[in-house]
Amino acid sequence: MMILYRNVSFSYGEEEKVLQSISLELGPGLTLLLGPNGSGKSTLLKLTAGVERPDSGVITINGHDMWDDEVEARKGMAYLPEHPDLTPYASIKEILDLVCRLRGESLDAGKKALEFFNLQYLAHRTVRELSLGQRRQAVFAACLIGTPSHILLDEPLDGMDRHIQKEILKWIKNHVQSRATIIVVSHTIEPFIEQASQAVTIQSGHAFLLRRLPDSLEKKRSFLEQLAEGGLPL
Amino acid sequence: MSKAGYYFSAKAFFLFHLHVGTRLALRTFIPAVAIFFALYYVLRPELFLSLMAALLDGGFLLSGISTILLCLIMAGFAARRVCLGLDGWIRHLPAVSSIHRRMAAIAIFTAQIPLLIIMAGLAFISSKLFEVPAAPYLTGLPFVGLVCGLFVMPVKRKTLSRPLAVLAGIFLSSNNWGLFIPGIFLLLATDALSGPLIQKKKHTKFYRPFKRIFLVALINWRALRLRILIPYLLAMPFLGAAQLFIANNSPPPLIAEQMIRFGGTIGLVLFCAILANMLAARRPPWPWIRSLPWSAKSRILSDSSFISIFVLPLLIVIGAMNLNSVLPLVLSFPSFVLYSVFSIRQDAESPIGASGKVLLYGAIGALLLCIFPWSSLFFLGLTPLILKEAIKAEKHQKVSRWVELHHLAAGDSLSWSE
Repeated sequence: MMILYRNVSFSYGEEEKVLQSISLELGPGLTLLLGPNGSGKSTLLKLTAGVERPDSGVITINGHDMWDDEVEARKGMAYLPEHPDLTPYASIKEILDLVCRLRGESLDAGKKALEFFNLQYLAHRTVRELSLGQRRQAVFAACLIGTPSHILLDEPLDGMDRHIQKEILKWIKNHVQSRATIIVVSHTIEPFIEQASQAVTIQSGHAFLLRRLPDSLEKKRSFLEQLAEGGLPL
Repeated sequence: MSKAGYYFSAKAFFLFHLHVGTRLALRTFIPAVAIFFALYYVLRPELFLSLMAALLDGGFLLSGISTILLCLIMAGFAARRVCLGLDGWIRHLPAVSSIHRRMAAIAIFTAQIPLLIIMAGLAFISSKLFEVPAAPYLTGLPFVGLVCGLFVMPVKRKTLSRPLAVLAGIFLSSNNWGLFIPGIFLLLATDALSGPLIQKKKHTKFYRPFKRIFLVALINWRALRLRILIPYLLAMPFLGAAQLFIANNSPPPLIAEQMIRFGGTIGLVLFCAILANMLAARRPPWPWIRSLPWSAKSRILSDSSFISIFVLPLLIVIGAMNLNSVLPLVLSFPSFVLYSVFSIRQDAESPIGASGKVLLYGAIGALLLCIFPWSSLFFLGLTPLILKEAIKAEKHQKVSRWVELHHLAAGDSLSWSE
């Protein structure tokens, strides 16, 4: 269940180094990825999901190189991007059917995932006919299919109503207990404080892994808040 | 990756892209049939079938190049829709790059099916009527669809694969068994040499703050870029037709002036109408900017200035053709420009689009200006009234409502175009 980053660097332009020589090892449990806006959190998640390719360095999932062993590395991956960039002319049902087939699940799993968000009535709508919130819910529904071992969530509670937020947190808790590796990028850290077992912060392109978080909930909160604001607690 | 694993992923992606391609094919089916019937009756059935027979019997270059050009247009249309999203979320699913590329090419192939059916039908009828063999052409057509699917994919080694794809397409549609087998080999070579899909790095660029008018111009420009040439390409033939009429008929000066005024106004109005349509689709209203201390009037005037700048070259061309004709157009063009800005706000979602009413208004204008040049004063007088209506339309826009047009918008995080 390990995600390994070895000297990973990434930039959007020649002079815009977003991530510089990042080396990390993330194991089972919930890792909060924190940092100020524009620090590269979502970019690191995209690299982990195999959406973007690092300029240099290697990312391996359970020992499988993300780009040399593409299928094996992505097999247990569930990814929720911040912007749900889905193929516009596919219907929600077709997207979920695709994920069901790739994860070896029956097509009913897609139906159940839609029921989780009460989106059954939208199953036959194409992506271009959905609002941003509905698209995010549809992508999250894809994450629910099967038993993913690596879950990457970019602002998972954004655009979700309170009832759904509770269900999502319950789902995350279940996966933490089943020893999945979960990385969450979120500006709202309060709901994840209890489950978080480690944190990564990105500052000036460099990532710092904090393996041990304080035991007391109150100390943990202030520690994580400090990280989220861009400070490294001493 | 094991073979079984490859086929497992390929099957899932095949079914997915087949659905996407079918949806696109259904969208293109009616326009394709409509264009076909329009051409069929414009060119008269006999002429059309003779052309098709010439295509089948015209040697590999004529039939090959014309067939692949038609298929590439269709494939290009489909690719814009299929490939958006190929470098995003879908990449985290367990499949190798070649599956993403090949199955997306299948979607593009499926989208071309209406065109391929029409081409096959025409070839079949022509072969029966004119007793020209069409079997190699008909056998090659599906492969041409596949070749075009591969051609339009954004792949890493496209400089290598695209010439091969064109050659394969020409061979396969050459109606010649001798070129069919090399065509298949070239198709396989195209697939083998294409390389992985290009992954674009998506990020937000930061710009220094601009003055308001420049900001509007910048946003409009980003939404259009080189597409700005399309309205010019559509407007120029009208000026050319007017010039040709004068060159070939040597009419008296008064008629020549009238012709240039007519052709010039039609060209100018067409330019404004097409530009309005493109802006309405690609540059949705920006809700947040309405919260800033910036009046609706200045937003309308900023848009009008942007369009006016691009209208100027047309006026210069008309002036070069006939200096006397350009004055009425100079007086009346602000009303046409403002009317198109008004239509962007008022009619973007109407069935005739933002351009429909502009064209109607412009057609009336062209007739009046052609016969009565002084009517330009009337149009000049209408300008403040249109401005008032445009401001009203700007204020009454429901800007944060989701509209279908958003999928075309450039620079919009919810759009699919950039």
